[in-house]
Amino acid sequence: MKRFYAAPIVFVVGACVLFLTGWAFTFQGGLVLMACGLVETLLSARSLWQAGCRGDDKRFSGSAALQEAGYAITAAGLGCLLLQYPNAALPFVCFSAAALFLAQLVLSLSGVVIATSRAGYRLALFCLAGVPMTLGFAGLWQLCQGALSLPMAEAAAWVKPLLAVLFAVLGLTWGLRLGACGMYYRAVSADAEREKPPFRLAEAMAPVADFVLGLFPILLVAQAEQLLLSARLPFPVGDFMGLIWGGTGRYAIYSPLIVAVLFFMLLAVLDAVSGKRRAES
Amino acid sequence: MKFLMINIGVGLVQAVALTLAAPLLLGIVFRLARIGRPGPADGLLFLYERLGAARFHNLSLGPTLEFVCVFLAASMLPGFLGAKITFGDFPLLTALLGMAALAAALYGEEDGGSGVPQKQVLFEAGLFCAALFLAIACRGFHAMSTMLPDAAFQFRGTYLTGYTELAALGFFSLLAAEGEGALRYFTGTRPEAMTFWGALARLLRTVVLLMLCAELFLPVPLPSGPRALVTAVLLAAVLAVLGHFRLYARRILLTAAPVLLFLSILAQ
Repeated sequence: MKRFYAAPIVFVVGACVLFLTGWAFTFQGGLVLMACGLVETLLSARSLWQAGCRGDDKRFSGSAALQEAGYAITAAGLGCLLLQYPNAALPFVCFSAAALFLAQLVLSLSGVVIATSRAGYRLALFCLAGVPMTLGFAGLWQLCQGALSLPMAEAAAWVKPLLAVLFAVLGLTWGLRLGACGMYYRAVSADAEREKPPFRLAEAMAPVADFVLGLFPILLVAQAEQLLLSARLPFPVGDFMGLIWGGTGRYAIYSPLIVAVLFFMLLAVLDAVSGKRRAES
Repeated sequence: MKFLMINIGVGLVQAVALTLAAPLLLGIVFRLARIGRPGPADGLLFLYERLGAARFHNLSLGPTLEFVCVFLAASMLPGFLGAKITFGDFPLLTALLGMAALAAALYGEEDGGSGVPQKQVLFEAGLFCAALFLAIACRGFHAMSTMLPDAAFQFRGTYLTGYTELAALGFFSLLAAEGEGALRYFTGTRPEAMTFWGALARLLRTVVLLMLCAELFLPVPLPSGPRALVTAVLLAAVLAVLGHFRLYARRILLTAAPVLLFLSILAQ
């Protein structure tokens, strides 16, 4: 068990040391921090997949947490890297992505822990996988924006391959995470020995409450971002605000906030109803 | 506001019409792809027949949710709602397609009537999402934007470079793997074992990839529709060759796609 987590934990501790000593806020420090985050994300994605295949609760939750931490460290590293360039707003985007990943870590995992103990884990796994309209997706989206807005003309030539690696790792780990969530569900639901308690609506609502609570940090970050960014910045603020409120910009049609809440509530109700039927049968 | 609503209404009608036409387009592709394969070939309209015979009642939540996610993803493309609202964000598109796979795994039936083990389906879904993310990222990386219209616009005039060829090859591997999987699914599964929305989602997902390939990687100065048709013919030819020489290796194609795309990003 200890060996299983050893390497990712070493990277988390290393990243914290970088932050505490202040070295992370230099150009090289930012790069090292980002590399630490990427390696940790890859390592924990591998262990997450293994835990998902086995249906191992503890390792699955632990690896998912370490992967979120890896994303947060990557975002923070990219933010530190962007601090070296004149536009002060860009690092903020990455730091808010790191904050979103950390919030996702706490909220989604608490949802999974509650749900796995009460057999309502499907919805919680949905939140954990980082599907659209969750904190994990918002963080990923901001991280992509931050990476693409790095001023390439001013950056060194080797920064571009590094960003290519960043995108590759993001894609691979996100795909693995999604698959691992499905594998975990499959392994757990196929386990005939496990006694499933009957499903209740209140328990299905736990991940929903987790999700709705998870929306508040995004709103706060969005408001702070709106206050801090000036109108002449290259970052498309309208898009981001549209993503949250659904009222303006390119995201108008989906109205994500309203749709998300209704959608997850509907899922919870359907899940609860189908669970009740299964328990009765 | 009124103008926006009219635009969205027209776009929705267009999206529904394209969804209804998708079985015909893929029927042609699959009919051509069956050349050289053993067994009797199906007609051009066989996908409509399959959909008509598919199970419509007593569905689990998974297939319906899967279709909704794929339809939302499709709506970002120029042929659907994309041109009306200049929508299309690549992390969102990939995440929606990934969400569809996860919804099918969590809320669907054991194997969706396809006979393929769910473990394999999930493994392939992970690879698919990773490859798609890389595919659109490599264009976005070039355009320095996460929006599909920007990525497609920046592509004009850069298609003769080595990295673009690599990217196109990688994406086409993904498309071929998806087409082969869809062909196997529709020809190898009993119609009554298929769920209607699940089968429609499968069709639409292949069309989404086809249109994305045409939009992002096909260097022909034509509108979106004819370009999609050209890509469909190319796909049919590749599937026919793969079937004729018994080179079926879907996992190899799925694995080759992210590798080629990663090399393409590095080459930039």
